[in-house]
Amino acid sequence: MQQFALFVTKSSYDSRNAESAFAFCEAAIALGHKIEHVFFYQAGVHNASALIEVNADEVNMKERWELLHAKHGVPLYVCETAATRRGVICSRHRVDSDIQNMNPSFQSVGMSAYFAALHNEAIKSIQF
Amino acid sequence: MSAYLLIISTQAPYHSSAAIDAFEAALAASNVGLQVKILLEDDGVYQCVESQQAESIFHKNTYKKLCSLPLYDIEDIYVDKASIDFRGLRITNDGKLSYSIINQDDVLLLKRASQQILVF
Repeated sequence: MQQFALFVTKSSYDSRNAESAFAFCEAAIALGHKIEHVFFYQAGVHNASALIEVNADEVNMKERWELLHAKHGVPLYVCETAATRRGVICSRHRVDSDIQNMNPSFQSVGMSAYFAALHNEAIKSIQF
Repeated sequence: MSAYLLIISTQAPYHSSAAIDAFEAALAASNVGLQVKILLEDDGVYQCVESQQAESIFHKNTYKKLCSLPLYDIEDIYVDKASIDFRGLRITNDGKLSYSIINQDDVLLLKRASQQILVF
């Protein structure tokens, strides 16, 4: 069994990177490998927006990420700084209001959450 | 050679957030104890041009940020010679930023020997 950590840096609509990352996750899990986590950085943090709506006949990455998390328990980590800069906000950043738009399937963390895992040399890092 | 994370920075300093994103990723990785090396490649070589006047566009100076990397235990900075030559750049090193200009064979070796690579 191989362990993977994925690093996604593009939004779900503007590029196919997120779709490729998700397809990789599905294929790896089907083959018995483990996805340690998917980490979203740069414009990749837009994947974590709960407000994304696409047309019914389009690829719905929001549903796909939610499914990956719910069905396989894959942690979906979002860089807190990158997300805040782009207006993807979780509740703990908004002490003054109830406004938040981060999908609850995702977790806001520091970048160290991604890099700390790389101390384990068995984990392969793949960037999308 | 011990395992290291290679961060490849390929964008000009103020073209997008990529250069700063690469810098912050490098700091975060070093902060958790990973050995980090940085390669400036393609338009990323513009980051080591000393005469940046970032204040005129209300940004922070990327060159000065690179100069601060040794404070975070990141001391291996490489610049791709082919990228410099292709752009006709004349880079004068004032000594504030310590880096090595390497040829394409050494760039390949640097990438092959890395444990992990992130590209910005």
